[in-house]
Amino acid sequence: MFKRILIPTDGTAASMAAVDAAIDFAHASGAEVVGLHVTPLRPLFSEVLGVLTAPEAEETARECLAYVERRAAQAGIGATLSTRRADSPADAIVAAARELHCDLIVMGTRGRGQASALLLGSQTQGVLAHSAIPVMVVPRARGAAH
Amino acid sequence: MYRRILVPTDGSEISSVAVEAAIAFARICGGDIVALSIAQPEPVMLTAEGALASGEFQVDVLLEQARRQVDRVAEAAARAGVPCTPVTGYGYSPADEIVEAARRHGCDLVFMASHGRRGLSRLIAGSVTQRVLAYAPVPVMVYRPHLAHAQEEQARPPAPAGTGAAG
Repeated sequence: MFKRILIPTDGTAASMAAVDAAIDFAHASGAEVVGLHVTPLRPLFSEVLGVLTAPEAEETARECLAYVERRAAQAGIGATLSTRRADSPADAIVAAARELHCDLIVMGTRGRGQASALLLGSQTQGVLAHSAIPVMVVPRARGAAH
Repeated sequence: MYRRILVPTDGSEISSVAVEAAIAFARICGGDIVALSIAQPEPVMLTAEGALASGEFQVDVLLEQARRQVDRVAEAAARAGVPCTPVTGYGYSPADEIVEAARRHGCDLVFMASHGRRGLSRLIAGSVTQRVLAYAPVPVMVYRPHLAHAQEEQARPPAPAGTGAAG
């Protein structure tokens, strides 16, 4: 049913949990994965790291995608890695899903216990609003619990 | 992989497209589904006519409606050879009922449409889905039916007699 799964990752715990879930899912369903990191064009505030400089952002991108690559290799599934630069990560994710012929996007939530409007994270919200393909949203607890 | 999939439905066209996909998905996973429909009390109208519909009457009607919706899902699941447990609930917040049902029935995935009967905008995930996403203890597959496809389905006349069964 799903053959090519897009995994946008930004290095947060929430997105790591989503990577893990997506790899398990791909492994079980015989799909391949596409790891994607979107680097903001302008310096953006990151809730984890503060404002990122360009070299730091590149380093983050490398680490995020290396994690996808490593997990995919461990699971024995094919992985393609992609980096994009864009002002709106959500738009870039939706565009990448289309251009890279993905049929599912797997993303994380920020975690629980905050106001519900903040729980999803603005990028997940944006992708949900504009994606033409299904989006699987993985709660952070799934990754944190194990 | 996913052994028990919660499939909430509100009977809308869009949610029925998601239900079909969920059943196909459960079949591939070799899992079973829990079909759920929540009877949601409507605010009673403050008019003479509205006063006629007592709360209790409304509950019965809404629960019956919910029952019919999950029965339809169960029938479709049976046709696909997927075991299905039909469940109805009653509450003001369908999202909270969905999250609670996922826990109670030990579901490891929720598979639902991006918006349902009350979704006003095609560009924004529905409020029920949003709330489920925020509080669900397990992954949620948000299925966004191809809208053109859904509209086609609605507009398409019934298949001409003799073509379907013959093939």
